[in-house]
Amino acid sequence: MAAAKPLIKKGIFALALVVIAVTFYYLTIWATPYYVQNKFASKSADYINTPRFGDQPNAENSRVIPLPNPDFLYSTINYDLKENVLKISGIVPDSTYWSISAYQENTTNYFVENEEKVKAKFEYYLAPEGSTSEALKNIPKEKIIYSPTSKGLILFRYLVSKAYPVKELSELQHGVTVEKLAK
Amino acid sequence: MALNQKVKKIALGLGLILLAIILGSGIGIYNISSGKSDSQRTIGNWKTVDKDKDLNTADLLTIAQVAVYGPYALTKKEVIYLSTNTDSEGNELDPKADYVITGKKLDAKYWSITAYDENGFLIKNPINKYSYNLEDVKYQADSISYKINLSGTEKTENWLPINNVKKTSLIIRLYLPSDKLRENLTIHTLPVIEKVK
Repeated sequence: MAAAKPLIKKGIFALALVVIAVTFYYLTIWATPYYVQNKFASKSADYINTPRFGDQPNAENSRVIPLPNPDFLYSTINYDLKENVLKISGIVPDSTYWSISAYQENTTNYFVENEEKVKAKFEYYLAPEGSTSEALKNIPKEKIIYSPTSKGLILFRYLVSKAYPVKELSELQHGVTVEKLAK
Repeated sequence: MALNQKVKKIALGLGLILLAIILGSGIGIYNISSGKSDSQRTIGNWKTVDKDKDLNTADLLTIAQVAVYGPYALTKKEVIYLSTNTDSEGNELDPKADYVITGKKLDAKYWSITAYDENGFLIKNPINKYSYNLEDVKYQADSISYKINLSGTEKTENWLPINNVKKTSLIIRLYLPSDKLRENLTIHTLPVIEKVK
């Protein structure tokens, strides 16, 4: 019995090592998307809750985020909702693909609408999930985007097409405004 | 002596714990870089998200892979992404070779085929052309078929350049695809990539 004791101890320790290895495996793959989002967000740390308008991607101006679509104009808003609810508004092009999408802090997409549903103008209120902010009173539900995490990214896609060449699309792109409302 | 033994034992224990941490994290990083996951579906040489899965509800590994190699993707409701780094025979795309991508119009609001370098960025080339889409690809006489020349050397028509890169990959984007296309995404509806030189 006494001889078995060190063996049991070793067995428990070996099991603990397996548990540690498995835990760190899942921790690594869970944490990686947060790391990626924070890395990208840190590049625009001075522009939190402010729209940024990108040029049409090419081989030289688009070397930070992989797999850019060269047919799109992108706009982004790196958001932090700790202190504000954001009112995001602008104009939707009528005959080319357009979308507004929202990504939580692990970079997964939780909201998207496109020009087939949103016509002419858009106005959205971005708030943290469960928000009871006064700013959201009397705002129709379909206009509120509830973010599962307090930080994240809003991404606009404008398709450059025959109907909307870059110049015209760029004017619409730069028309997006973000208003910080008291939480 | 006994104290020495105890210190050695503790050091060994800590060393093994550290090894377990490195091993667990290392396998995590390796699996992310492998590009393989349980949420993947293969259609010929094209890879996409499995039929009953999506990017925002996929397993942790898929979410991590997308975050690293193609962040801020949209869900299947909006877009279907297909990627490949091989020709239709399953051989890795060689940027020094010439390929012809043969396909037909895809039933989606917008579709495109884009070439990327080994890091997932657009490839610098003399004509500043990185992709073909439903509007700018030159169709054949039947107005629905096309041939795209994927090559590092200049071509007269539908040239998709892959100059001076070590590796290349292709992405098809299908924005707002029809229900018919969603249900019928097969090897016959997707473009064929054939090595010609």
